[in-house]
Amino acid sequence: MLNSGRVSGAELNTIADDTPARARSRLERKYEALWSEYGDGLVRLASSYESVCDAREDLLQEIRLALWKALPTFRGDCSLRTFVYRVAHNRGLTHVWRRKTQTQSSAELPDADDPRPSPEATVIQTADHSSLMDAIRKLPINYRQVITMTLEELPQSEIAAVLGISENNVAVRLNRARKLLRAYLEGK
Amino acid sequence: MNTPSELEIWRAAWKTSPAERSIKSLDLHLEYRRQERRLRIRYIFNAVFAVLLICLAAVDLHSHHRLEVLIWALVVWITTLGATAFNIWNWRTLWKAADKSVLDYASTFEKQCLASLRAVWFTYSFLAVQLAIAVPWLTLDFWRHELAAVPYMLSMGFLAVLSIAFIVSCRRMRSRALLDLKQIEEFRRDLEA
Repeated sequence: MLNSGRVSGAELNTIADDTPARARSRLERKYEALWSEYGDGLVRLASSYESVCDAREDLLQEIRLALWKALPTFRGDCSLRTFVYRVAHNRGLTHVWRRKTQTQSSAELPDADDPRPSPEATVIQTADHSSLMDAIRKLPINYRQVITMTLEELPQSEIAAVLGISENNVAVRLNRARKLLRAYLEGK
Repeated sequence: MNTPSELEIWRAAWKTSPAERSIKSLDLHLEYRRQERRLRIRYIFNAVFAVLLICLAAVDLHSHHRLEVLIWALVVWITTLGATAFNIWNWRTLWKAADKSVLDYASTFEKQCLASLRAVWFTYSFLAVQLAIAVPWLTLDFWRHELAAVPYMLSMGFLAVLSIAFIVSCRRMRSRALLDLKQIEEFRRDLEA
């Protein structure tokens, strides 16, 4: 199981029924497997919430700790990936809400319904990781969440489950997020 | 040959993993235990403070069988037990389950902020009631020469320090809750846009 890097809900259910020492050891193994599977995505997720390096590290640690605390409560009501992304986005949101100085004000953002035609080819050619990340960080949080999960290849049904909204709503937000993102990348 | 879509291009750029993945080593189990311990200490401190107040009133009543002491003891017991009951009621079912959906989490977070604001106003009222009773009482005793100058000054000093500590902590709690509420409101506004 550890080698495959995948953790099932049923396996996690046994954690609570074990002796404390064994449960802890099991939990550590499950956690490591979970981190090896989703760690890269969570690092990128933390980067989308925080641009300052130290603060990003702190956020990542908060996410790790939140996952560690929440893991024994996982009962398989949703997929493990949904569970992981829920915990991570909730930590990210708290981090943003608690941040004293807002680096981005929504007043600075261009109109979400900007109808200007966009030369997609230019965008495609210029999209590298850092410019994309900068552009994503400029998005309002609810668009940012949808686009980052889409880029992590979560299906719309799963994004809806993470956020607690309908799939239609996800589609609408994704559409607007793409428009805005395109506009930001063009204007960089 | 198919041209990659905009999303595919972005995805490829997104997944070009940054070399910044230098995660500080953190013993999660230790950190978890540390946080649990801090929380437990806070609960124990609150419980000890409440028990101490109740016991002090009882001891005072035991050594001075006077009507005014009985009234004072009753006030202390009622306010202490009232504050405990309020705390339990105010924070009931408001733990923030980390694995809720983002929308549910935001809603619980908002309720927690409102509970914080209620707690602040309750603390102010509690403090006002306590001061309205204690200060005239001590001053009257001092004026009647039933309380010497040094214990009187010490008692007043203690009350002043306690009041300042409560006010400072309440102001911080209030401004934090208001700031959080503002952020949640913005988040909701974005959702409805």
